Amino acid sequence: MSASILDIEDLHVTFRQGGRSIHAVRGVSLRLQPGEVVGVVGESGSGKSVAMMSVARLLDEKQAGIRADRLDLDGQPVLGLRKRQLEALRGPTVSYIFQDPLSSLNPVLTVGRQVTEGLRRHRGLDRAEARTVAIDLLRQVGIPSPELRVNQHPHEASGGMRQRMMIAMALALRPKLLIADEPTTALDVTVQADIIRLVQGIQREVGMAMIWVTHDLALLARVARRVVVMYGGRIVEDAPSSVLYSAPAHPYTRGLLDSTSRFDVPFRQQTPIPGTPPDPAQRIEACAFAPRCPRATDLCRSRIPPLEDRGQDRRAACFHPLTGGA
Amino acid sequence: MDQPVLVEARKLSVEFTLRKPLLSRRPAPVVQAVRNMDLSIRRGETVALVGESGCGKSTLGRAMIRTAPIARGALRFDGEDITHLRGEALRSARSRFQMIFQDPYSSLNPKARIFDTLAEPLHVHGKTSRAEVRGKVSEILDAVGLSPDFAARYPHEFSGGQRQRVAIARAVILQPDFIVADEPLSALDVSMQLQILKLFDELRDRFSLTYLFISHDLARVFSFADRVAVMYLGQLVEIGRAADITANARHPYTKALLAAAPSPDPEVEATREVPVLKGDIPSPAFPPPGCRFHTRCPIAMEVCARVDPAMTDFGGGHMAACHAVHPGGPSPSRPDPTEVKKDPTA
Repeated sequence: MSASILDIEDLHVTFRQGGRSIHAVRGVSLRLQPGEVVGVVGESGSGKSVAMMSVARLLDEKQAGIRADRLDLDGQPVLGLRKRQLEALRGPTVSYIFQDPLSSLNPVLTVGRQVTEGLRRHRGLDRAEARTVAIDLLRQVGIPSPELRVNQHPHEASGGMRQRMMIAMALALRPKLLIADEPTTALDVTVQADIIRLVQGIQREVGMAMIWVTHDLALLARVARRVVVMYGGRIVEDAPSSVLYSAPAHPYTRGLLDSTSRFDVPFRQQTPIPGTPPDPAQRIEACAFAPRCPRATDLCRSRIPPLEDRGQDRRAACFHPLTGGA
Repeated sequence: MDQPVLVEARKLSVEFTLRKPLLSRRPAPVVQAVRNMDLSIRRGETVALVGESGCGKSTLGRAMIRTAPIARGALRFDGEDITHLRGEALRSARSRFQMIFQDPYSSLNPKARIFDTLAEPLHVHGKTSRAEVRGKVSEILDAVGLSPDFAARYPHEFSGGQRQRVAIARAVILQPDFIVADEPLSALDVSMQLQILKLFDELRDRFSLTYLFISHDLARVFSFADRVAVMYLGQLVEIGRAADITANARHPYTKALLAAAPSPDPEVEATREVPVLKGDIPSPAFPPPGCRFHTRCPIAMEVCARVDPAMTDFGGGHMAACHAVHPGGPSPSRPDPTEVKKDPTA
């Protein structure tokens, strides 16, 4: 069973911050098959980004303590790796796209140079070869006049164009796993639709596995076959899209669905989730959602519900699920 | 039956002069951030103003409460022309309209207790008795769903949603007539967005408020609004009752906005063709000639590059500016605001 591209078991990430310790990820287990497209959804503080950044160990480990029973990327344990070995994984094995391209692009280097940095390093291309490849990559991501753009700097491009540049950069080495963390949140909706279609097209063509990290369940309905819902540093539900949207098991998933922008439900019938998300600095020996949950009982307030199989390829962490169990 | 018009913009334009390029002989470029805008809002009504970055929606919102300079056209509030109101008259009019911003953290003073933040507008507008101020503050905290002991705390002690509640409390404490809310949800988590929108809804009834609700998220606001106005590059492209806009959008840009927003239903998404607009939004400083949308429009015709279409009236207050939907051929040209004389009543 080690054919998984990603195999995480009981991942914990803790940040130390001025004497306080923030337990951002509290035991996440997740396995992804090659070519699989999964969405990870959660609100701020849910631990979704931190968990996903741990995969390539992108967190500043002076502040972040990462531990896991297993954290394997393409069959290789990531936690024991040295810096050099990690760098060999980043690019050909795993690549990232983030929300804000400006903070990921280097302002003083030309677009071409950044897009092909990985190719030059990993594949040993020379300058002229790299330029040809860069132009080709920029064309593939829908950048007009790529032969001009290749010599420009990031600030000369619009937000949508910069996001395309970052996608070109992330895809240069045809990674086996692409992690896109809120890649379209900062973009206008019409540009967002275009970028999503672009990434989807490339994913299908290359056949790479992909994780979309977002706060937006509606977006995942468009792109993901399987959705993992995180709350308070844990996975609370993990199910195929075909069952998650029509019949969620976890009351939080239900609440998030009900809170999502939609045209087909009159405003007065839309119900918000009461209360506020948990403080990640707080230790919780209970279901983190219990204070906001309409189904919570004393059991929920005294024990952490385990993430259990519920049939139909679904896992849920709830003592009183809406479907698929007692 | 219809309520009277509370706020009315007539042929309103807002212009910003950009810095003149060094050594250039040409005059400094002028951006028409809002061009020739007609918009009236009835008392008690909620109008959602939607569009993408650079469309001028925030600028229009600020102009409608006289916090952005009006270059041309007229603004009336409760029957009075306030386009050129100044000094004390403007200050006193301002207590009747308020603005709420996207980021409550930057709009609240981090060093002031919530009590002082809320009491300040009361002092400025003449409510000075201690007891009266105290009573008013706890009343308003209750109205926005915060416990009265929050008054002694500071903004950093709150979550994003709670801070937005404080910002809203501050905006409604003087019981204004008109509130411009500029993307008040977009900094919040999904579960908080609907909570805060529900609060806007409650307050609308409780204090008889009129809203101009600015948002890029049409799906979020349309069911909350009575009418929707869609802007593109400084101009109105479509306006109408929310139900008419979603069921029967006329303008290709409105259609693109509606289609671009994903629906939380994988079955719907699997079968839906999302029309993709070409390229990015042009700079508002150098808008395309003719219809400003023609460079990205999937159904652009030859005339669209030359003539900026006027609004076509489809009845029931539903209007759109597009040659392709104008009955009997291309639409007449939209009037150029720079050729329109200043409002004679001004």
